[in-house]
Amino acid sequence: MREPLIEVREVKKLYPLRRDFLGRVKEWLSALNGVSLSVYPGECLGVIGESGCGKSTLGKIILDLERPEEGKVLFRGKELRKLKGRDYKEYRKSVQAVFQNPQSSLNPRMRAWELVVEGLKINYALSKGELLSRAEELLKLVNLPVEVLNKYPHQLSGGQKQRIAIARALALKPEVIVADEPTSALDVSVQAQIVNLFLELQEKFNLSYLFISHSLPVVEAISDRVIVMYKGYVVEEGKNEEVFTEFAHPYTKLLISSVPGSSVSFKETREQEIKKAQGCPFYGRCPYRKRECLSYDMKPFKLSDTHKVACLLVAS
Amino acid sequence: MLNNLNSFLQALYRRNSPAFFSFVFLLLLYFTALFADFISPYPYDVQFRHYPYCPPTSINFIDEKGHFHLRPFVYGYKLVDPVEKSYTVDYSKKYPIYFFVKGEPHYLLGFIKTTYHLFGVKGEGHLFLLGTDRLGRDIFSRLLYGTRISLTVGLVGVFISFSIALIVGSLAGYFGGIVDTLIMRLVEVLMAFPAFYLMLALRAMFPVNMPSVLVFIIIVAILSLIGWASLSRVIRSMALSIRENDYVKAAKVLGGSSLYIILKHIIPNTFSYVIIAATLAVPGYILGEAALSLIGLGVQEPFPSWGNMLSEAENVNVLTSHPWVLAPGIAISAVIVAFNLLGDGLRDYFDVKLER
Repeated sequence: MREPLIEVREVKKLYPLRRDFLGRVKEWLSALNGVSLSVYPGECLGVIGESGCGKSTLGKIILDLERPEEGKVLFRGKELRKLKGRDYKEYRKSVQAVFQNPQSSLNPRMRAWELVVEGLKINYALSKGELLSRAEELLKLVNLPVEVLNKYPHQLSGGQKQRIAIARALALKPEVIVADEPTSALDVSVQAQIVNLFLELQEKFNLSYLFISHSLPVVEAISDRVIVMYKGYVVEEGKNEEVFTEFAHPYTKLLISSVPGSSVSFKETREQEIKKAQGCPFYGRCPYRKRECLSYDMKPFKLSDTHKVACLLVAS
Repeated sequence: MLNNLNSFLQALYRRNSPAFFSFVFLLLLYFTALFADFISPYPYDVQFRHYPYCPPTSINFIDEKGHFHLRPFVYGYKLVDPVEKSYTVDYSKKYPIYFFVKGEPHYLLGFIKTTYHLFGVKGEGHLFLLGTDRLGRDIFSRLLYGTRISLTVGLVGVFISFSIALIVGSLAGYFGGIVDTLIMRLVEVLMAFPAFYLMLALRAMFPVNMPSVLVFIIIVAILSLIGWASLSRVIRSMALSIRENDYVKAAKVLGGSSLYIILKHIIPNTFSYVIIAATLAVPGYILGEAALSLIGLGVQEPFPSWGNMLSEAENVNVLTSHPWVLAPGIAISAVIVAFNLLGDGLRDYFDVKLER
């Protein structure tokens, strides 16, 4: 088995929901409940799930923008928290990000070329001429004309802005790009272009992606492997076909049936409040629920070497 | 740079012409401040002892016989009642006004020694455009010299206090947590003091009689120390919202340090607000200086500032019989109105720019 580039082990993340007047937290929201995954070199791992399921939190933790309460993130087998100095810089350069909304991910006061080479400016001492020529190369990589070099973000279209954001991520020659809903803010026609660009770049630079999205068609088009998340749990994990055609978890079925034109039908039961914070998080909405589900610890079952499902249905 | 300025002025003129004219007016005033000793007919401290409270000299083109003169002239003035300080015009003496008249020596721009003044009268005549004060000093000349204090106190004060506010506010907003709490409590303590009395108390720590330059520096320092608090709160809240933008996260992912992010992403994005706020804050400093000087704690005589010149207008009797001593008050109002109009214009300008 190949070495994973990034490995997430049993990560838990809590956010404070309510505080008392002394500032002590009275109620926590658990965004991630022990999530594990691996990203291998050159592959695209898609993460799907409804909003609020913890996909973005997962991305932030891998990017070291948030610290998990429990569990760890490994970069090339070394624990992220323990990386120091040069190793940390190496990690920073190797793991880059593309965010959802290019409107907010590009500083409105910087020109396109400054935006694109920001990472080079931070990490290397280059002259303005060198930066400009690098910016030109990077724009070419993402199929943008040279004319945009001196434009400000408000002069560019949504698709162009997202291309700038991708070029900025590429500038440091990363190995992994965490793309957090990179197509969600774009028109459908532009979405396809951006997805194709991602595929093109992956081939060119042997990139790995952690591709977070709630759009199933986009994930299906780009991913080699897919994980499905629900309320901070990974409920299903497998190869693209395994998840999209041989899905075994009721929640995955629900997601796939909800895509317009899908042949899969799934009838969700009326949501029932669960008092106990234990057991399967999907219990309240699941038509196949059983009494045992309430004490299920969400340990996944293996259907094949690559296909894992966290549901008691598959156990029986 | 010049090109930018040009297009900025054009846009300002189209959208908000009062702001444009205020800008030009203020520019002229700063120019005046720079060349005050050349433009003013007399030095600020020359006392014409025979002309206390002399009314503004009228400038004439037509003489008492109805003849027109291309070159304007002034008549001689004569003090008739030294108690009431009333003057009669002496029609027998005419003094034409010339450009580039020799007068008291001065240093143009501080290093070019010259005796020429921009305009004036020759010989025995006097040219008091705005009259004189109780010691017979030319109010117009003193007003020009006073521009130096009143206009720089605003700019320097705003510069210092805004620098402090930008640093402190962006640190508090960006880091949040304990840093934020500590800084904001300090700001609240500072804001809890009534500003005017705090100003007096701070001024009281220094001796009253000090060289003018030192007094000026102290005044600016005091005003800035009071002024940064409220602004830093605004900057902090702006930083709080700016840091949530994805470009800040992107900069972190690219390896940018906190200092880099504050300098490159947080502070520049507060500028459109800061420039407007700075323009609108300048009048506060001018008034602060005027208030200190008015009660005699600011710039000391004989050096003029608009504030200490106004102290002459404190006495109602003086004011009713010699209303021209109010000239510095009008100057202060004009400058404040100009700064406010300019601030409004800048707000319009930046609003539209951000909408695009």
